Amino acid sequence: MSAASFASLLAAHAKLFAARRPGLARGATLPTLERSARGVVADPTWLSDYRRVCGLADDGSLPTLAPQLMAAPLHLALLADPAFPIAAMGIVHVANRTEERVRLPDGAALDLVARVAGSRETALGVEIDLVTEATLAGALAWKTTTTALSRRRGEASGERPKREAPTAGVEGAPLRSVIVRVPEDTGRRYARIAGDLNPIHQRAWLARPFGFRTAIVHGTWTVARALAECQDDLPLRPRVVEVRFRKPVPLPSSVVVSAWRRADGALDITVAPPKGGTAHVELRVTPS
Amino acid sequence: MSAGMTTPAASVEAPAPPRSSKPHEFIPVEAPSAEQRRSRSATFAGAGEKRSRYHLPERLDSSSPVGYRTRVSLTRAEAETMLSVLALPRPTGFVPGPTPAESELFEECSLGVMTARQSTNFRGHRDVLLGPDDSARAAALLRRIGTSGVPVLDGAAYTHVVLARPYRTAFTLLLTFVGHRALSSLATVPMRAWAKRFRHADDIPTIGHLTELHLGVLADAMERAAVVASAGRRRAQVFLRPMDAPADPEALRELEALAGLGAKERALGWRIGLVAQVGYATTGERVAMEPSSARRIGAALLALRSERIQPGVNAEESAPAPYQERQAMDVSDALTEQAGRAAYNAFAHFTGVDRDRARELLLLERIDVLTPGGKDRLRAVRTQLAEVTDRVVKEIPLWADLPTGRALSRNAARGRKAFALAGQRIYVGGLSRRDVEASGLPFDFAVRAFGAAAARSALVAELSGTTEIPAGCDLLAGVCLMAGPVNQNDIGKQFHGASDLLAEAHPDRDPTSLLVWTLKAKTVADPIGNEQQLLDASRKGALVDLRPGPHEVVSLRRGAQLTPMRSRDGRLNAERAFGDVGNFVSAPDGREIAGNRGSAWPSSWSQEVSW
Repeated sequence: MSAASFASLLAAHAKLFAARRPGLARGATLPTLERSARGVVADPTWLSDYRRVCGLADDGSLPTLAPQLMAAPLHLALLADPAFPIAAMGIVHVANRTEERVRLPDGAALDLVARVAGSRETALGVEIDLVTEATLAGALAWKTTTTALSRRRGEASGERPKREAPTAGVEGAPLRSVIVRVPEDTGRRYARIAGDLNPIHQRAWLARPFGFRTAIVHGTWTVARALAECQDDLPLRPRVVEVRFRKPVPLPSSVVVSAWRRADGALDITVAPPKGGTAHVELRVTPS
Repeated sequence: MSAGMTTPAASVEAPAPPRSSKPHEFIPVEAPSAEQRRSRSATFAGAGEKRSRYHLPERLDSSSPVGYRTRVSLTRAEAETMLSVLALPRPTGFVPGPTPAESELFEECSLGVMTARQSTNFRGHRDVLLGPDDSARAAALLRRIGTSGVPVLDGAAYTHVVLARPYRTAFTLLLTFVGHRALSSLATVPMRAWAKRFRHADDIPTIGHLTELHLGVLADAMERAAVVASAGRRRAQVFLRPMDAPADPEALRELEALAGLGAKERALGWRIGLVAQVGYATTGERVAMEPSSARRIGAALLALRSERIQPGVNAEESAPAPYQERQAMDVSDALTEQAGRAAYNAFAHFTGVDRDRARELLLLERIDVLTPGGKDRLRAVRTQLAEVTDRVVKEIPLWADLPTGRALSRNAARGRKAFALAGQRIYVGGLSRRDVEASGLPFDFAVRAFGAAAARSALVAELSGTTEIPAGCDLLAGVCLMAGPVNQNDIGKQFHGASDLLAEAHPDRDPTSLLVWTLKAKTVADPIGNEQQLLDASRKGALVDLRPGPHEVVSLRRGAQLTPMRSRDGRLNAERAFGDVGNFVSAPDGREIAGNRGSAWPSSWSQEVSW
């Protein structure tokens, strides 16, 4: 990323985070917003940097979440739209569901569409769905639904709906189990590639005002890094990658990435603290 | 020559034409009765429970290809296949074949420089892999250097150039302070430290011998690694003779340059230790080996380790129940005879002397712990070593010991435990410099071959000890190879007038003892804490080094660049070699150690051809 484009990204983030928003009233619906871009091709240098920071081997295919990052300017534009009622600051990424219908080669020219797809009330606040689609030669090739939570002040705390997921060491021998070190600068390195300069990923002192003791790494980095450790074990496309973010990964830290093969051919992956306890992230990759 | 490892077989054999290797026979180790079968059955420490070395580690963060592994119960056929590999003659030629994938090189190096055997693992070796073109250059250089009758082969697929440095660990640091007179130590300690640092001098001769022994152990491992990693398709031609007197010194410099060995490394003591050409075997020299068996054998080799604590013998009071109960087990004379055969085979194989001469040159003393005479002899050896330890502790210069909080004398005292001898069959092995040189062999070369002989001998016993393991047992027999008691004895020899450990058994040979190995029949594997010392930086033992990852000790020469193996785009290896066999340690309830299984190196990288 050039200095000029980094500066413009920084300015866009500053504007986004500074903007005052009324919030979504209980029972209200989100406006229909959509942004698109045609013929988007991953820059080879960017792709190489992305793979390097996530530990992904180059197999000639776009990594699972690469189109989502390629669509980051569209997401930024949606959140910056004056009609979008929720402040970007404080939104927590809680889930992701990605459909990979075909293998996308590195140089694929993708038509990208991002839209606000709806919202629902939960015990903790309002969950927002952001859908991103990638079309290749007129056919839908890739689609992801990103679910983010916007907490409401004074909302009674409650149990977040939990998806069933494997627990390390309980459901038989894992296929993989590896400790991955997450260096302190991971958030800063990844932010430049992902175009996400949220201060909670940058430095501990920047993250503290938002309730974190340390900076935390991006959830999409954690997912990509976990998939990298299981790159050859993933079911072939078409497949669905479901992700549930349970708790953030602090910086620096180590995490255990473990994978189990299910009887139906799906792969369950957890990213957990080495000492055990609640997983940071749970993934299920299912052939479709 | 001691009984047990030698004479019976020789007395019944008809004279045969000279050959380097005699075939090995598989000798089973008899399992104990069902009531006596025990296994380690280690568990994770419970909440609030104090952890000990008998508990499973909670996690493994290591790029080593080993991990915490259980022994693989080999079939008899698999064991016999492996035994046949141990008696192979040298290859006579290579035939063309495909450039091996990166994963094949990784697995071969995993069985070689990254593991070899516990005591070798002092980060004193670096393995530089040369591709086919550089191998052709290396072959030409080897011919100019001279290989003393071992033919240099054409058409190698790749070549290992192993660099070795003097043995330097925490133990050798301690040795700097040993054997000085009280007052003059203020001068003699710094003088010795200077000589060690800049002239690579050793405090006692057996420390220098360790470097050679380790190279021999590694050479033996590399020979079979080439076979096992290729399921019998490739063979290795190993040049183990020291290259300290090359016919063409300029050729040696060129070979060193090819391996990236420059003036800086030479000043630190690094030299070319051995060279191994690896290539595709001719049809008649391939080893018949099913790929699935090769993988199980590979996993089995990675799982072998030193075994020291025998159930019911020198078990700590705090040890769990399986270690407290005696087991009525023993290794048979037939097995020790096969182990001896392997030693002679290996010594003859690497030195080129015939087997009869090998039998004369290898000096062994067998201490049969289960017999009254053996018990007395063991007691005498223990007393002799304990006396040395006492004197070392007493004579450590106070001016160095006090400022370090008596760390030096405390570490010296640890030798009592570290070098403790326990087992059913204890062997002390060595060579006579006089006799070796009379045979036309450089002593250092013979010491290397002795290391190979000891390692191969131990492996024969270990194969029997891990074949057809009954349910409820970790193993049937194990081996521990130790240089510590010999070093301790050497301190006594050099500074206190003690006699060599082998002097009583071989009074007329002016022997130099080199290694001690103990052979035990048992079904309980040693505490996993022993392995943790090798794999976990936070629990690293004082006298051992961590098992390295490939990026730390192996590099591939591509063009003019040396590239560390499996360090790419910020990722390091987390693959456990032959991990598909699945022999990973777990708790009785099936729970595994976090990080132990590792993850596969991505196939788009591991399937790349390396050159």
